[in-house]
Amino acid sequence: MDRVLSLLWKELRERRGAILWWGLGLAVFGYVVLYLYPSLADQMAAMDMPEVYQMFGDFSNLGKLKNYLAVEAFDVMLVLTLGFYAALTGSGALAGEEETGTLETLLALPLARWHVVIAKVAALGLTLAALLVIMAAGLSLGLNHVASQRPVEYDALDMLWASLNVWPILMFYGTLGLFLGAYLPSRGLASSVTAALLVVSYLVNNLGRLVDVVRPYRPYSPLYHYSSTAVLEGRVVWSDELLILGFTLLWVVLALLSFQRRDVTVHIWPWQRLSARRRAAQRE
Amino acid sequence: MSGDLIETQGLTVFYGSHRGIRDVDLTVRQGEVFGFLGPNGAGKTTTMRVLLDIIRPTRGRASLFGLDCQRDGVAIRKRVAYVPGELALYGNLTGRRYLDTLDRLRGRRAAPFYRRELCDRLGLDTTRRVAEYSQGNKKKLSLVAAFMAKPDLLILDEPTGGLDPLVQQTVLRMVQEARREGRTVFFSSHILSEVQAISDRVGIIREGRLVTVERVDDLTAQPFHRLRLSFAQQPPAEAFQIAGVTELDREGPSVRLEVRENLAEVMRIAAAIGITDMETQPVTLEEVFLAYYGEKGVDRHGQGA
Repeated sequence: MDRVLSLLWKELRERRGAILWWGLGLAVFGYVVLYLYPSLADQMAAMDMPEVYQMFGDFSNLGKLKNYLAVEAFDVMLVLTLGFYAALTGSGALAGEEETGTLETLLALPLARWHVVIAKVAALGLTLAALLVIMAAGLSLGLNHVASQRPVEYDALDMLWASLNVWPILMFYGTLGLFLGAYLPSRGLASSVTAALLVVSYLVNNLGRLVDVVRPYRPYSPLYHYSSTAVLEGRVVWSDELLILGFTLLWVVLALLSFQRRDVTVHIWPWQRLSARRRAAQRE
Repeated sequence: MSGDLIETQGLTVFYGSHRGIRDVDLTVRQGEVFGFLGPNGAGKTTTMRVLLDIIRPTRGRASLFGLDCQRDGVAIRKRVAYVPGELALYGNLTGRRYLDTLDRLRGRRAAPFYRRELCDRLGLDTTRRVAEYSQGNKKKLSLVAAFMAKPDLLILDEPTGGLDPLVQQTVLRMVQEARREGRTVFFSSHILSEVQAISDRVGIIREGRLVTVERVDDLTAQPFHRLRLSFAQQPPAEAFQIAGVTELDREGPSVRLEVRENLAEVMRIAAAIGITDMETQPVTLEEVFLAYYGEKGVDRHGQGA
């Protein structure tokens, strides 16, 4: 266990630059979004664009702070941007180290392969949580500015929970990237596939609100099961949370199994390895 | 467990349809320095990676310390240190922190004075970031990381590659010291001279097959001499057309010969023509390899490799 913690510590140390700069960016973004809210609220309340409202969620009025936060802070920006970050970080966690060559050094140490996967998952989870906490700090500062001009129904703790509410869906894509990185021959392929799935699920979920042909497929999009407003409304949709966390766990298990079987440094498809094994068995 | 520290049986690795290694039966005894020779791509690194369970064999088995490389990988690697041939280190760490990190991941603390001594001997500055290191310094750092743990087995893939000659000598001395302390060293190289200098036995791998394992003395008892003879004037074309002698080429009054027998006769003819200079030419590993096994992989006993 000590060795897993040491590896986790090493991983977090390596990501501190990313945490600092991404966190700073997200905090500034959160602050600016809420800083602008008082001057935008009336204009947004007056807007009559039902299709746009519908595309971003079942909102009737973006002038309301809850709806404004759900669309401007916790939807496109956070899910897509941090989703890409999670996908790239997840796919790079094993496959990236394999491509740079450092994984060979790591696996020559007395670490079981599952030690490596668990440490990588934990580092990914903590990194994403840290980024969301930093963003919540920015949102809280922005909320203070809003509160100085008009009454608000939320406090800093609400911002923290609303930010952390994004964590499960980010972990979904991060661990999917991790699994694909352990299964596919290259990091590039793993990150491309993960990012493409993120974009497709975003489009299916959001366009499905408007387009009848796409609508039946919405429940198959992981993002359908993420609600940017639920926490702000004081509720948790446990079935959705458990579904996303269940799939996240599935990706972790698949990553463990794939990495356990992987010929590190070889970069071939799993079936190429199996067919080589079959040919060798036939020769015997 | 017998005296064999490394043992492989029918070890075969295929990368899809590409050959890695094939039917490698190898034993390395406890306390010996074993040189693993072969040209690039022959399968040296693949064999090492299988021993460390980085790559899984397609067929066959490998054991270290009597333990199965796949099943008991963690227990094995507690007693092994590895220097990879293709170095990739964590560039954002300083050298010191890199060594600390590896120490922690290995789960035991290397003696600080020994670590310092190794750094001093190799001339390594551990205060700089690894990303700023030259290839040579990265190699030194990797060597310190391996030796500081005082493992029972050192697996070194081209350990002197990229180092200057003085440091190369230091590394070879460190290997010899490790052997004197009873530790085992399994190292790969394609530099015959360094293998000759420190190995007890060598294995030669060619195109994925282990073609021989021999004592160094036997390997270096070359079945021929290669000479460059210079004369005052160009010697007659047929001068060295005698049994066991092959004329490789001639450049003006110089002749290059490969002499497998009748060396005394060659000397007599050269003296009669008027030899002005003689030079024995070093033999590269590739040449020894070809001399022993022939272009088509046929060994000196006429058997297919």
